[in-house]
Amino acid sequence: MTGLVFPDARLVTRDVLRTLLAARPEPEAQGVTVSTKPADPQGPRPYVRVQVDGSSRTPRLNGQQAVRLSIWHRDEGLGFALARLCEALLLGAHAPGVRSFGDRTGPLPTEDPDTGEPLSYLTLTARLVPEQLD
Amino acid sequence: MARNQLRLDSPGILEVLKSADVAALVADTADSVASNVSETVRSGEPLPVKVDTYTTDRAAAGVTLAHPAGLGMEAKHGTLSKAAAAAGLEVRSKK
Repeated sequence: MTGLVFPDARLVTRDVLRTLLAARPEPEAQGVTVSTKPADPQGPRPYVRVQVDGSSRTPRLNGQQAVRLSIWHRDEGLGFALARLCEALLLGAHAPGVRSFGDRTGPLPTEDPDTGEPLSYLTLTARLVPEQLD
Repeated sequence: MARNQLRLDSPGILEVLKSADVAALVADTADSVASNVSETVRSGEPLPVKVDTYTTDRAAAGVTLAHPAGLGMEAKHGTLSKAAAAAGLEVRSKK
């Protein structure tokens, strides 16, 4: 019997967002960094961190992961606008490795609990395309 | 071939969903989610977590990050979502 694996939704989402945001004219998207790594408090803004909160799969071809986008920006309005833009782009995205994205929670504006910086977030469901093992 | 008919006993199902046994299971799961939260706030104290049990048309429970920084912790770390996933729950938006 051949096994099936699912791609890492963090990497798929990061790559899709990098491509889509690079083509956007909105001011909130200019100069954005998209990464899976933690945000450096002294690092560039805007900054989008992609994480996965959890994953599940059903026999045999359905796999999904809960994707979290944490978005730091220079001010709260721009950060929330970027969060909404990311959500809109991903909900309409077609990309290798993912069947579709579905809405989950947010976007919501808040602040970084450690630095007080403006921080917005949202979560999405990434429905993944299985890969067959050789 | 004889056809079997299935009739749901809705009042009976509601009674089970409100029963003490189901309420205890729900409360145990909520406690498990709460105990999976291990973050600390900026002062170094543990992030306080509150569990509320209640009944609607069924036994239910809520888990809250009971601190002003709670939403920020969820935004930055996914504190509650990851705690729920570690307890075997799937977090969905409330439609």
